[in-house]
Amino acid sequence: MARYLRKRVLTGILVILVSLIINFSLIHLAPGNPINLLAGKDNPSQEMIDTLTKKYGLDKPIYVQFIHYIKTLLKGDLGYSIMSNEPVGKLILEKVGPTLLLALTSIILALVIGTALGILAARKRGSKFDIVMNGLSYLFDSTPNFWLGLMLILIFASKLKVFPTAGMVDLRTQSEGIAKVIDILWHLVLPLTTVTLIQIPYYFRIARSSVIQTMSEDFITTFRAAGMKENRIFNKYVFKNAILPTVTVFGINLAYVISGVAIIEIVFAWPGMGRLMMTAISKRDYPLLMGIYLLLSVSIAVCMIVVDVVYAIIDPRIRYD
Amino acid sequence: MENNYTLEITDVFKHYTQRIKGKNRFRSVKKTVKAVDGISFELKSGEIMGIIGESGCGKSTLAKLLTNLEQPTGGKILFNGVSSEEMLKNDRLQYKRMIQMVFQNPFDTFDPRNNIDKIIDETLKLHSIGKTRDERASITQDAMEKVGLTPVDDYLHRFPHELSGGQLQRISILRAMLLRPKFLVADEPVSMLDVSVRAEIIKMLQEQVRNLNTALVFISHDINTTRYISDKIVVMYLGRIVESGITDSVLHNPAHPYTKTLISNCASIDILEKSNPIKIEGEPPTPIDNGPGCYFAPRCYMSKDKCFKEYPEKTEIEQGHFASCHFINRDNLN
Repeated sequence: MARYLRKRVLTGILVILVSLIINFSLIHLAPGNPINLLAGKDNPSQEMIDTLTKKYGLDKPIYVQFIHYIKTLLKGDLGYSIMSNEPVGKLILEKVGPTLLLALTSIILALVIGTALGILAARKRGSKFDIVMNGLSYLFDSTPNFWLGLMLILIFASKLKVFPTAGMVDLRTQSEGIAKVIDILWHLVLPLTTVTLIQIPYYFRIARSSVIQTMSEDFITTFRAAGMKENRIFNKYVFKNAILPTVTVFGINLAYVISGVAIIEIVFAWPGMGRLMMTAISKRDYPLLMGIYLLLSVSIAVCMIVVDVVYAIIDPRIRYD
Repeated sequence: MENNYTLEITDVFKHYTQRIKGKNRFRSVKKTVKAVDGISFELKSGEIMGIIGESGCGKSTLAKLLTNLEQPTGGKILFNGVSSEEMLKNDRLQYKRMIQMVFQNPFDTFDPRNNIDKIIDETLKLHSIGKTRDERASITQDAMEKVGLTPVDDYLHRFPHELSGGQLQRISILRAMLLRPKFLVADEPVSMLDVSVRAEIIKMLQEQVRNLNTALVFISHDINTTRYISDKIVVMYLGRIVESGITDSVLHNPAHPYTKTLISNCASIDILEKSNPIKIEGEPPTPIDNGPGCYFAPRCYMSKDKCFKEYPEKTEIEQGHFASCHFINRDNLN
């Protein structure tokens, strides 16, 4: 097990390193640079631009800049934001909480609801429930997430006025304690619903198809022939075998949601990393962007390692060596 | 206890409803697929009965009906005169224990996530054989040693994917026989295996059923194997029995043109033996709307008008040897 884990972790580190290189070169290859934005539009003098470029080390060749970045990174320093002059680490830490709250809650909700619905549909294959759920899964799968968000705002916030349109807390009533928690949860409903609804189809379909497939396996027939009750067969054998593909999808989806939640954050003005990332992109704030991307790739790598380990635990066919 | 059991199948049907595109392309038509279409036979303890026929003739459906994996649409399955429905109502597990099954594909027969030890233990536990885990383990070990799956520990702690097809099939037979069934249904038990291990599996199957005086239903499309193992033989075509009787009697003196065709197409090891395979065209059709006549008539080399009009009666040719064909008597005269 230790060897297996070590191999996974090494692969993870490699993935992070490669994504660092790609991110760094992509950001610098993109047209525009922060200096022009920083110097302003009113005909900045060449001297001023040169000074600024030198100050941020942007005059050096790109590989020198990269080596410098890695060096400071290894010391645990993410650098300073070009725009606000604040430490990148501090900026990210301020915003990471709301994003995690939204992403993780939605992932868990979608996993539980989607899998449960998928199993139900598979066990009642061909029934009205199955047909309706299948249709809905395709509908929500092909709906753009921002559009769904806007529609929810239109219906539940603008027309029915049940939920707030945007933000994470009510700015007019500075609530504390439990009241604040309730306020946050109230604001969470719509963005959470959007992100969850978009993810449910994945889990629904994978659970449905793998349960149907497992139920028709010969070894399930063997248990039936031996006289085992249908419910026991399901709980003990079908479920455990059918859940394996869900774990894989969970890993892939986790990565997708952590980075994909940004758009929903913008739609709902959710004070998470999504908006931080969008501003950083438009301002070409290199250190801040690198910091955000690094966090994303680290979290995706960690998710992958966790999924691999979970998979190895529940499926004995995967060897640890 | 007298170890004498009779399995009596009388006029068993299994029909499925299927939706098929009709002439109107927007409306589907409900059709009845007659997978098993009125089958009767009797089987006694210690007997081995072979069922042969092409794929799609209802052999596997019959196996599923016997093991209650599917419920018959009509007809009766009687064990010592007691109907299967009544037995299932009284004690489902007892019924299941009495009639066990060995499946075609040994690679898919076992849960891939459990090792052999757990798989066998689960079955024994379900039927309350052996009170403790240790007792069950020793029952399993004894049985495995007897059939030569040694060293036992090598097998018990392996997962199904780590064993070969032959080994798995032997474990599959063992698992079924550990329940001491009165009847065993083996659905093409060797067709997925390498030719080199087939003989071994057949031998083990024979020994196992002989030891417990269990009756065996051996389903196969391989006439040679079936001939070797079985006392009685039943030839099926499109859900019906076309010929049945003592193995030698049926195979040496086949009365039904379908049986003749099957035998004439069977490879012999003797290269000098003259063989004139009777040609049979096409695949067996899906058993939908078979018409009033003989089901085999459209593919039969000796069919006449009469064959398309009425289904031939079951006729006794010699003692215990039956066939359903209009031309049996005339053929015998020739």
